[in-house]
Amino acid sequence: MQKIDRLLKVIDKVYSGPIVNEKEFDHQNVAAGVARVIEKYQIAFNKEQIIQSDDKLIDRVWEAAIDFLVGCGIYHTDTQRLIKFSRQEIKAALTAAPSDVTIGLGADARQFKTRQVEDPRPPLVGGGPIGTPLSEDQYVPIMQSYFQEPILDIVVPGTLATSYGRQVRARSPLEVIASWQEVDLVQEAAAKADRTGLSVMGVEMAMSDLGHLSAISRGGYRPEDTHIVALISEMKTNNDLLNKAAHSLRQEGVILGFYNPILGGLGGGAEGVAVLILAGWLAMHLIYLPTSVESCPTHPFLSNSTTPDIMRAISVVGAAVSRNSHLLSEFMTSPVSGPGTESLLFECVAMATVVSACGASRALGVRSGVGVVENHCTGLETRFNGEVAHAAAGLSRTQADEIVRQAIEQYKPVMDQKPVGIPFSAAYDTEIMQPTRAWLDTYEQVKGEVINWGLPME
Amino acid sequence: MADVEKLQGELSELLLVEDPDAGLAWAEETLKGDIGVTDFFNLVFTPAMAAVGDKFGRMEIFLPELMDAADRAKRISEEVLQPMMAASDSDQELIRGKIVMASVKGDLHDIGKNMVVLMLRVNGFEVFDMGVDVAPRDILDKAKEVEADIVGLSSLMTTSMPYMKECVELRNGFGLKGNFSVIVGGAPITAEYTAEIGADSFGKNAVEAVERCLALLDRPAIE
Ligand code: B12
Repeated sequence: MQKIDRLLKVIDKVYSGPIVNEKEFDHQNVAAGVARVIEKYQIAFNKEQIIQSDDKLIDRVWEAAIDFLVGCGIYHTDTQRLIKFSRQEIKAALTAAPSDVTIGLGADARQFKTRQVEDPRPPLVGGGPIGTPLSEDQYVPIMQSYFQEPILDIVVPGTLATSYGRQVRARSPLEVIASWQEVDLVQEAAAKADRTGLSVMGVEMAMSDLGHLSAISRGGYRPEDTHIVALISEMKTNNDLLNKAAHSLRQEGVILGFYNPILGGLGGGAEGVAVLILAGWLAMHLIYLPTSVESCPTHPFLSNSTTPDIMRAISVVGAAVSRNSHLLSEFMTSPVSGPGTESLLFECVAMATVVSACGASRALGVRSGVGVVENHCTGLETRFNGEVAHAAAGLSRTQADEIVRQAIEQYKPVMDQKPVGIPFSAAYDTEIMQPTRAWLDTYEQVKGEVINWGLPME
Repeated sequence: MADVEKLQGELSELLLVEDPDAGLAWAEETLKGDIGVTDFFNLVFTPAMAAVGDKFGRMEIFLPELMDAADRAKRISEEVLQPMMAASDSDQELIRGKIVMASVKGDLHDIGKNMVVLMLRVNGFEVFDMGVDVAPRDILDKAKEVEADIVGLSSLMTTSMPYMKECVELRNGFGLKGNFSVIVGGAPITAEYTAEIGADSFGKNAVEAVERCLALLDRPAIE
């Protein structure tokens, strides 16, 4: 079926599905729905390990997610209607999803491919400030610090703290202007690093459909860039998001669906988070027709993705997708720590190892300081995250789990203190666009340490 | 005198068991004993709810349990305590304050806000949750309509934060500064930003949100 026909069928459902109260959806469809399948499929993770390696359990989680999605549906908040799909429709969407695509252009083009659990072929590496607010004067140098890292296969920009000196307001003309400014500044940084063909994942400033529809057009983001469309946690969408999908489909863009369930939220603990990520990914394949999907499950009090429970869920989801489908998958390292700290690098070790060993297609990072501290991010941590992901490819899950647990021991004691580190201007010598000696020393030292643990980094 | 600590423990457990009516029946039964309804409310009911909230803060229970506990507590309050209070002519307030909560305009992030709403509810506040993407004017109108004591604003993005400032400006502009306080929160919000926009308080997380709202109303923290 043509993509446009599929999208039209989704829109039909948006206007004809059963009307449901949002609170009831949260309670009955999501919370009770997750609890139901967790019991039915007897899903309980092994607390002794981070990386779960019981493949029977992993496959049950996959089945549970499909069962849950069929029952739950996706809630459309504008029409208050439920978009429901059958098992057959889910199967068809899984078959139609791509398993190998080209992103980017020219010398910077990359093949984005499905991987297997414990696959020796490394995942692609994505990186950037990933939405972290950047001041206008620092935007280009910070972005350049990422573009110049050869290990990066795709770049994810930061947001602009202000636009032409003004506080940006979502859904206002300033959103349009700021979205274009993002494109302009990203292109400037890419040109400085001589990597204009690299795929860029945006529009980060598109809080609504406005920014997306304007900045993905002539002179803006290209079809070979990666167009972001989110699913609202938990299991919801709206017309803004469907507008984004409709526009990017017409542009024949590479679409990325992302979905971040919250630990301790409607899905409950790690097991529920795993069910929700899988169901949300399938849901996005049904309604947005994306090229690939991503997740950064979030801790409710620390806002990071590097807590043990969350990584347990990720290990299961990565493996479940690789074992049961050919979907292109991706997870984000979102640490509490920021530039200049050792703990930041240990958080990367833990997450990138989990992601790589469990079969994800791409490892994304690093959203330092959970992405909310202005200018607190640098290219170096992304290099490190990528190097870990490369090195962990081919490790057995048991070997990988040892390394992950050692890394957690290093940062666990400081997690609550949120060591956000130093800003870019203090971590990089901007004259030569290189990390300062001190930041580089920390990087070398942590690298040496994890090599001793058995992670084969170069 | 009844052993209030024991009763507290019993109630906070009953609010989390499978049977949704267990707490209700237990409250009716307990109130037949030697504890008066006012004491029950202050020394058993409120602290028991706070204990449930603390469990969530320590992640011993999750959002669905917290939602259920809040619903059950509401029923105990409405079906058992309020009728008894009315009958006893007590002037005790059963709610600790009225709060209007919203994720501000442009912002769809509501998970944190929903947690704050629930924590406030289990701690005895009456909360009017306006949802997401709410315009400043609508928030203000609601606060006036329900005679709110506090307006709570949630923002997760630098691009929606300006609407918090607009809310405070509108409140002050309409001369309503004495009518209700504004508390703000969300991952990017800091104490400095709170002061800068003239909001009255700020909470880092759902646990702190409760403490700060109690402080705004000059109510003692729950033991
Ligand atoms: C989950 C999430 C989403 C989900 C939201 C789902 C939902 N229903 O809420 C989805 C996927 C939809 C989403 C979309 C987007 N997001 Co988002 N998202 C997040 C993420 C990862 C976690 C937020 C969260 O729920 N945390 C868990 C909850 C429990 O924590 P919390 O909200 O902080 O709440 C706690 C406290 O802050 C406090 N609190 C909260 N509110 C209040 C209120 C009061 C009164 C008080 C006292 C306390 C209080 O108590 C809570 C409980 O402890 C954050 C990253 C982060 N570090 O926060 C990004 C983040 C907020 N998102 C961001 C962005 C950019 C976007 C998008 C624009 C991405 C895009 N290009 O599409 C869109 C915009 C959508 C919109 N218009 O709002 C940026 C914002 C950057 C900036 N410039 O400020 C962040 C920081 C990530 C990043 N760096 O990119 N996102």
